[in-house]
Amino acid sequence: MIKPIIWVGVYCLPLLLALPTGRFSQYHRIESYEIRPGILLTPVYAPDGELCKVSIERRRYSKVSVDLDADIPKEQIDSFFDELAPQQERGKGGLGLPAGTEVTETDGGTRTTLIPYENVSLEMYGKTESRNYAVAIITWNKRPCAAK
Amino acid sequence: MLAAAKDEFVPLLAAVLLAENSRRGVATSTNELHRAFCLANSNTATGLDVCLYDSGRGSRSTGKERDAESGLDYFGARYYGSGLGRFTSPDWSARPEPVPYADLGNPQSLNQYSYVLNNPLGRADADGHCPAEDQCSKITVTAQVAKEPTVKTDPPKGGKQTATVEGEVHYTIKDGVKPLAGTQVHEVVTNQVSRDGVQQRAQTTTRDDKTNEQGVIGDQVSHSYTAIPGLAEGMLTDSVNTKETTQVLTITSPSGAVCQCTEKRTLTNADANGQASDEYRIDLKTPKVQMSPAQTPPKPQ
Repeated sequence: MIKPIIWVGVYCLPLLLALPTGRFSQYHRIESYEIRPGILLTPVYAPDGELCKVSIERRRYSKVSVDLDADIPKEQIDSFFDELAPQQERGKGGLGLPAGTEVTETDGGTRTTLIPYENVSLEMYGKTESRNYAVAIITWNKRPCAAK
Repeated sequence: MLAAAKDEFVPLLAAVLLAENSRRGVATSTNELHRAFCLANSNTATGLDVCLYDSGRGSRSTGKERDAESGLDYFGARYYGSGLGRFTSPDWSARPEPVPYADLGNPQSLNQYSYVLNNPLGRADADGHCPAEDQCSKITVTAQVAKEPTVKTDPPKGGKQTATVEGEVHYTIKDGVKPLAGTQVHEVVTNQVSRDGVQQRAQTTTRDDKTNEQGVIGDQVSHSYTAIPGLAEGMLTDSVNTKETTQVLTITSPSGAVCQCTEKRTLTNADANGQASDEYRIDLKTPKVQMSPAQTPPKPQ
């Protein structure tokens, strides 16, 4: 009877040590997913627990190198958008624009693009000198995130 | 806390004195009350004796408390003698320095006993330490439309077409008359975009830039629509599109002061009657602004 308990203890100990109860216990813990190699998705939830927003960005650090200009091509962001918010759940075009319209602003060194739909919108932020974007944010418009 | 205690006990003691005098059949004069309970006296500018305890009057000078015994004003770090117009001890800083808060460009800062660099009409001392000269007010930012906005439509590509209105604004940063070349500029840009009066979005982005040899940073200003061919240009010219931009520029001046200013501009195609037109313009709301100190770290106590 005692033997299985000891074995469970031995196997669980490394897992318990890996939890952020020790060295990192003073830090805020976040949830993130690697949706492609080196590309991280960080979800934000509404107070009721529903997903309300995700941010997508490329990690600068990898085992291979450190990329200080890490960004994502628009075509790849489009494919993530299709995966995470398929056409059928987007609704018609948002902000009184035809569906799929992209609105882009450039000011100083920054370029931002918005693709608004009724139920969901995609925002992309990048540097003027690059065609790619540094970060993409998908927002589900009818699920307000918590204020904080 | 002491003042609160005084507030509580002095009226009580006065009542006891009045009761005791009354029991002895002696009248109590106002002067007697004053002498008995004014724990300390202070001089006003008019030279009249008043009770420092008088909580209705509060502090002296620029909001600082006057010590009744010495006649000195307490500024936190030091005592100030208003009769002399000098602090009673030299200035000091938490980090040891040969001459604390010295600015070699202003000899007044070398006098460690002077009050607000000998400029009491223009300055006030907050904490008993010498106030640094405002290095930021000499720095100006002048905005200029370098390229008037024009509309262009790209050929269709991949089933979509882009129409863009694009212009350029230059910001020239000068310290007096000297352009600040190669200066790092931190920009916080907030845009409010509306179409036919309906707000489309509001967003804030931050970015660092660097001035060129002439002290100029160039800002490309554009607004574009990408839609199915034939629609995009109409979106730009058939509706009133307005982008209001507020930019907070922060720099570090050559003297090391962190300075800041706010620039505002509008990109719009609204004509004089507020109707949509084919022509866009950039209105500079703040063509020339003076920088002011950004949030500065507190002086050492």
